[in-house]
Amino acid sequence: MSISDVKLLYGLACFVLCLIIVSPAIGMIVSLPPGERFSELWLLGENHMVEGYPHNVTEGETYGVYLGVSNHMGGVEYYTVFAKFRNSSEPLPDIQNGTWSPLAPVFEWRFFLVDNQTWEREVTFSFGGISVENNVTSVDRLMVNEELSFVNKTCAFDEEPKGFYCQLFFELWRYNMTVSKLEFHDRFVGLRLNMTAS
Amino acid sequence: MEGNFRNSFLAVLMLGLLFSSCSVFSFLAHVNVGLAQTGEEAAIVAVFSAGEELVSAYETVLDAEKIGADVSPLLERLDLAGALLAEANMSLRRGDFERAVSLADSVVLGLEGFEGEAGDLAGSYQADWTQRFQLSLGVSVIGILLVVVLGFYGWRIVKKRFVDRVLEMKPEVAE
Repeated sequence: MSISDVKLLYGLACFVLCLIIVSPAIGMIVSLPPGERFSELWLLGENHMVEGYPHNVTEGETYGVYLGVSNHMGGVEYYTVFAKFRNSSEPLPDIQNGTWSPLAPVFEWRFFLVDNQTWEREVTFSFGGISVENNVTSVDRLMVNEELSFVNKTCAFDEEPKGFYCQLFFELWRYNMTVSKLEFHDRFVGLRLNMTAS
Repeated sequence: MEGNFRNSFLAVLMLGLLFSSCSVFSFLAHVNVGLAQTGEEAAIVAVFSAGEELVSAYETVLDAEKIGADVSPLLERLDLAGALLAEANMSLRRGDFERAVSLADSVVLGLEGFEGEAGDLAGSYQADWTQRFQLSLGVSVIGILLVVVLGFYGWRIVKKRFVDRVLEMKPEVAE
């Protein structure tokens, strides 16, 4: 090893040491590139598990699920979740086209989350005025978290699986600052419920 | 003849009374409908304004977050306002306009002074950050100067040792 090699190594060591010394100051200015940005929306059964979801529902009984949202968008987000109720002939949200269901909400939540924060709430619901006539089930009332709505839906008979099905679903919306309005965030979860007269 | 005149007079009077009653009832009905529409309109305007107020508060939070401030302490107030606004919307859909207006007013009241609080948080963070950055930069500059100065002296020692080691070597002649 010649003297010039030693000189080079020594200079390199001093340079690396300078970088280590100045790194805290650089760290205060330089920010790492953000990872993938997304939001999560989920529904859990009564035991906080991906099971135990209500399926066969009767009038007067109260059912519970857990609705959750998690923010991974890199900053504070303003979310709204709309609960809606439909029969099989009414439209669901279309995630492919980014369109929401045109049905009126029966309940809503509005909240704010910082990055990586999670929000979860218990959702209780019950039905009133369930009647069966001519192979069609009618549902008059739906109560979500003590909020009563007169839904007046008719649930036609489904062969596969057999039952009179309607659906309670939840759409996730997010406030978009670029366009200054609430937008459907291409996420929804739902419960397919077999309406049975007691 | 007097009887006929009296009967005619009574008939005209009855008709007049009937017409007046109908007019009064019609007027009252219109006034009630008008008041109801005003109530609904007032509720819609109140809820919309509350929504705008909430968005404005959200923008303030985003501005503070942009400079790196921890905005978690501000979210409690925003969440409360959001919950009230959600209730106001549901009241509006239900047709309970009075409650919708009341809740909307609560949203606006709850966000009073919010921009000031967010501004204070952002300002405090900015001042703290500037102080920390200046300290960090100062320490870094001193550290680099030390490395440079000690580096020169260190190099002289390393060079002398290298030369001494080379001079100690005994060359061997290869056969």
